[in-house]
Amino acid sequence: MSILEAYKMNMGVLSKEDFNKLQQLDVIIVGLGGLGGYVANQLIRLGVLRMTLIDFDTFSESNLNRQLFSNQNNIGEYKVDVICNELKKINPLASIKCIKKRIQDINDLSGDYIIDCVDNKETKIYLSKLSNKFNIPLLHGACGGWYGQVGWISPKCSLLEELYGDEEVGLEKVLLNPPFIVGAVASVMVSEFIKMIKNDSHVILDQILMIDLLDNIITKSGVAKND
Amino acid sequence: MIKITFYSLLRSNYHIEEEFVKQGSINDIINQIIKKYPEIKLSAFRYSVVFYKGKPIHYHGFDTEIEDNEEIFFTQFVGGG
Repeated sequence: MSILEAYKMNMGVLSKEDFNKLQQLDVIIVGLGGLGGYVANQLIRLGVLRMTLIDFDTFSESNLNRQLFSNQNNIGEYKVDVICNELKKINPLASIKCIKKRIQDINDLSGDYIIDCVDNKETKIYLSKLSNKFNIPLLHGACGGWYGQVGWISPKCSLLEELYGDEEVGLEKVLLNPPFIVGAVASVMVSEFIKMIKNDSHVILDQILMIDLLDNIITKSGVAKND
Repeated sequence: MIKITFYSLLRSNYHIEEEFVKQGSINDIINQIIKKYPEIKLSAFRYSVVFYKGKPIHYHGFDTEIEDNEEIFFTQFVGGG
């Protein structure tokens, strides 16, 4: 495999230093369903070499509408196993650790970044607390219907806990999850990931980027004035 | 006056983008909006999240007073993946 040839189309937005940094990172992706499959796919194609994939679940028929690596032949297989194999087809040099457990059953976590691709608010809040506990920045993503959310959450920030609060209903419960919102939100997550790697001032940090594909609006939640 | 921006379902269902209302609590603001747009039911705001100075405020905090000349927006969260 020619590294230069494989990644040359990324080098318009990545400097050589950025690319080297990407190759040194250990990225933890929690949730390998809709968002997680797309995010993992894009990260490996950007040059990330080390990933930890965490998901306890297997592919089912209801995943076929939106989960990138699901197909008729792998229903019933563990998502992390399928995706690990697919990622290694893209870059055989990748080092990918697969954990088939609920994130709540994992006692120790190490890595440079946690990426939130889970599909429920309780686990998202749990990830925010883990981020705080292990002092690892969290890249949040969520989607439902026409709508999505993306943002970096620093370990001391409680924005996700505040956003999800005690409310029980997210729009995904009503509008469900079509494929276009999953791919769009995952792509925005990865672009934010790259901005963070580059220390770009445009990165969405401790606020939420709200994505509305129905009205074609992307807006920031704003930064608390007393922070 | 307070600038209100609508996102998500409130925007797409009622085709309202922005409004300017008199200073008050979020509940006061909702009442002003409903008075102007009677087709919007109070229940439409039940699962809204208001962002004010970058902080999300849920239904149970809608008695929060918004300072004059500030802006807020109404949206709804998603939690799917």
